[in-house]
Amino acid sequence: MTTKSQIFRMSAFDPGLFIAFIILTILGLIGLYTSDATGSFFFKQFLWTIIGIILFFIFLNINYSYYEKFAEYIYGVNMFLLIVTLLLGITMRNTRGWINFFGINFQFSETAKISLIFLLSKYLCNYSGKMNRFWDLLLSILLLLLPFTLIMIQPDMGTALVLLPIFFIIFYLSGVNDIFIIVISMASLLAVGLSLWMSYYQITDPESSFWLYRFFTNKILFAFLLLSILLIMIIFIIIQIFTGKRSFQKIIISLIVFILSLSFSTGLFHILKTYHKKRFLVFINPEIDRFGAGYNIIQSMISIGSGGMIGKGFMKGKQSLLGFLPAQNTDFIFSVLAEQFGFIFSLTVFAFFSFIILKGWNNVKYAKDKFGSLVSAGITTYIFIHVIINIGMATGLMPIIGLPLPFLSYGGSSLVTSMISIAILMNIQYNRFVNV
Amino acid sequence: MAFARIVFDKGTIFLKKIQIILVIFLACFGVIILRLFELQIIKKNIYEQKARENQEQKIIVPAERGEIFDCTYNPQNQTNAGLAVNEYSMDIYLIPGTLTKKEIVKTVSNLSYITTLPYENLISKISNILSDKIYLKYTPVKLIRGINKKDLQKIAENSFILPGIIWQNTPKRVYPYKNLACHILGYVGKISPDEWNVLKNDALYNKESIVGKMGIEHQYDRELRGIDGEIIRIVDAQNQIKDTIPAKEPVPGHKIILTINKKFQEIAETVLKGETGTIIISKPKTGEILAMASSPGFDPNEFIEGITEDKYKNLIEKNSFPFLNRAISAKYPPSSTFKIIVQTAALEEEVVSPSDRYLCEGHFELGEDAHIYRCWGIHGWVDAVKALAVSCDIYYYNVGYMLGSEKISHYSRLFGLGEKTGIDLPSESAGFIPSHSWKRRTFREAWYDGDTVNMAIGQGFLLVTPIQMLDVINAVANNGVIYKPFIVKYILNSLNNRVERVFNPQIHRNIPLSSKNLSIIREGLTKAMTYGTGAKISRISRIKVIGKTGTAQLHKGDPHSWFIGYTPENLYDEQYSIVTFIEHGGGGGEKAVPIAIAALQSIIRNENPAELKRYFLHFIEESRFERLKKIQQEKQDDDQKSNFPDVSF
Repeated sequence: MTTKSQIFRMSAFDPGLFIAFIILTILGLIGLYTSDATGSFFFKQFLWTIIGIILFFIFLNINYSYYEKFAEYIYGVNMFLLIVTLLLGITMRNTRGWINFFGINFQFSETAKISLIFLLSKYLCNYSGKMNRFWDLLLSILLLLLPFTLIMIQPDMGTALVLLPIFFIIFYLSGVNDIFIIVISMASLLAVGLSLWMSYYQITDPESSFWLYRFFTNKILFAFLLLSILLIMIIFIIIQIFTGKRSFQKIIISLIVFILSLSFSTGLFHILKTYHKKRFLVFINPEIDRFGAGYNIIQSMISIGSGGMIGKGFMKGKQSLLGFLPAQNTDFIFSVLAEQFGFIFSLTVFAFFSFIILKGWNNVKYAKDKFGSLVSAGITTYIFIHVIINIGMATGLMPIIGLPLPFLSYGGSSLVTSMISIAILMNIQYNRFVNV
Repeated sequence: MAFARIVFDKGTIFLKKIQIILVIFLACFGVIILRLFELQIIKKNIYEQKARENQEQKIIVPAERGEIFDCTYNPQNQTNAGLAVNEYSMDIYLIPGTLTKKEIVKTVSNLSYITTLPYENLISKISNILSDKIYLKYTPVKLIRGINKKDLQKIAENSFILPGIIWQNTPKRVYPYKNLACHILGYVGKISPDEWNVLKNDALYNKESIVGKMGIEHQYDRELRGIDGEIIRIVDAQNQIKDTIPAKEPVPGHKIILTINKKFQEIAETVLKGETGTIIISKPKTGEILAMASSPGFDPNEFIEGITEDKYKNLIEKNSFPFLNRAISAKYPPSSTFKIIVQTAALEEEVVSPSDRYLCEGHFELGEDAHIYRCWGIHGWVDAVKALAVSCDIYYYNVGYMLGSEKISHYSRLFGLGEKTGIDLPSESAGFIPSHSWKRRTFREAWYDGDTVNMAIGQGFLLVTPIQMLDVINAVANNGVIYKPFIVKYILNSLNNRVERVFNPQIHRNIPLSSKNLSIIREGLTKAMTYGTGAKISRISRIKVIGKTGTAQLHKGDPHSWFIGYTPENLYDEQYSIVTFIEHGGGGGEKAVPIAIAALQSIIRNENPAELKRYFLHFIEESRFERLKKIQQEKQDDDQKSNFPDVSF
């Protein structure tokens, strides 16, 4: 005869985590209520909350090992759905990211994060320690690139970019040779950083005589780089065949990677449109796109800053009420609430998210198997990245990458996915002592 | 549920990695929290200010301009007729605010479509905004003045496609009596870039201020304009008004009560109609100006909005300088009116005695080359009184020669010539008194005696303004005491009619004129009107006026016609002095005198000025005709020498 409390204790339910995300969700609902005169956002989000909680309880007690077993299928179905989204999906805000089921819109790019986490974790936990071979590395990169590309095409730059840190962290933790991590991260940083730096000149001072800028914008250079890669790869292969030596391997690979990142950088520079660049650079200097993306950041900072310590009060956020703050329900929900409830609110939100992150990260340490560890890492990372980018964007520290704030931003798919993710975390946590 | 699983080795490297990542996570959180602290705590005030700037628009509420009344203004009276008043009209403004250029252009074209007003007209009003790079201002720019109810309703209904458009009941300056006292009142208009340059640090003015450009509007602009108020409009991101908070009440400008009497002004302007010239009527006992008319004039109402180019060209092209206030800004040779000053000098300096006589045979010889100076008539033996009465030039050639130009200049300055009277109107001229050094500098010639002699009869280089001659005649009327001419009597608070400032009569010159000499001069002026140059009219006029005529000869065209005079003390309810000047009017007695008498008689006896003028002029014409006939007759009858067939007085 199990009493209710016993059932609860028997299940993976963690009241702390539950309260944390419920409170965050409620804060989000308050925010939506105050920022939207028609009340439709509030109402819809409320419905999604209910659906989310139901799904939460369903997923709570699914043993996460099943995900390991069916990771390929989950991934495959999700990729299929992503393709369907591209072909038949609904377009909102210039992004074809939703599929409509009986009147409900759902974004499968959200669940793609989880699907990737599952498959990547499964793949890497089985190959840990021996992951030095080029082809294994390539396969995992392809696993990443598929959803990345599918989502990028929508185009949902933000959600696609989130996949990258998730990938990196799981990769890093899985025991893959550190050199790979370091090299790849440095190469990508170089690529992106250089591209952004040059874009800054392109936008603010197109006629600049800065030597690097002139060199960089030269299309001939790009071609030259590609050719040199080809050349070097040929040389590499020749050396390998002739000497079988692997001592130059690392140097040559580094060189290839360096040149690759340069060419990627120029490629990025020429392919990205001006408005993409502006959105990125705007966080350095909001004046770059004063009435576009810069305006958003400026208004967001004004909203947050003018909230002060205790905020302006419930329903008294003039910035949001009078419409100066854009994207109030999604990207800038934090600013809406910060204006009304001040620094106290900011601290509270951070407290709860920190709690979730810490709890999640605890799992990485104490999960009973590598799969659970990696999945926890992936999920925690994904929540972390969302928080950092969204609030960073709102405070002017990050470029404008449209990412929802988990639990607070309006969006059923994001809310439900986040709640399910917590359920998975709870399950991993619960099962750490259970021996199969 | 058993899977093949590699045993999970939680090596130290793994644990370390976990730690590293966690630290990075928490560090990032820390950075963001610090940032939030920076925004919300440290820089809170900065962002609050920016939030306010977003939402609040400071709109300037222009203060009501003070109205201008004539001297009959009675605060108890509800229906005082104002000379410059405010009327309200519903105007359409654009507040550019945070609108981009494109949005502004769209709004204006929508507005043009809704009101069917031409787009070019509307867009021209904000052309300077469009040329700015980023225009962020909350000062309204007027697009349409005086919109009717229907159009206003259409605009209100379509306000969502007209971001930045507001409507406001705004006052407009109106001059109900049109040309009446136009030179005195002046007009108002939008501040020009030059004016703004000077006034930009003055809190009373802003870039869109309406300022007085001429006359009283200009002279007393600070008192008239009041203090602008401010309202704060709370707007949303679409520039829709959410709330309006009055922040500063506008303080209406002060009322100005002139010394001018509207009825007298009307009379003066009526008799001046069709002439080019000026009339000034004042009270010698106080210096108050009762009427100041200058013809031709203009309608100040046409200048409020900015006159159209054609109309302006029309006004200018006539070459008659309608904007010139001839009473104070135009300079003319005083001609025989100057003889009062010369006579004063001669008597006071005892160069002549009242009884000394000179023989006038029509010419006067001067200098080694025996240059001949003529008199307008042959007067026989002339003493001081007769000299004034018939305006004999020979007498004054002699007297002037004896006085010398220095003394003449000295007495001119005593009477205030060569200097502004200081009347409270802008653009007064100081006239001109020539000097030896001036002549040498300008003409590279020495001063000749002939110049002195010319000066003595008020010709030559000497130049005066009519208001300076008013001072001269006022001196005679008022026993040598000249009160400073002024045109504003009171400045009143518009809200409670409290007197903010009162202008009291001020003596500004005292002529050293003994009562004996004064009476000589007065006798001369009296006789001028009984048998002298002004006598003609006296036959038919019904008021007693004494004064001096003048005929300013020019190189070509009819001479200018002067008359300065006054009514004797205690004869009528009020004592009046008058200066009349008619360009190319002919002899002083021909035009200036009848016009002056018509004006005064009209005032004193309440008669119709236009009729009087017509009557007088007709009479002059007739008697001239008669005289001519008589002369013809005499010539036919008598072959001998005749009296000078002079037709000028």
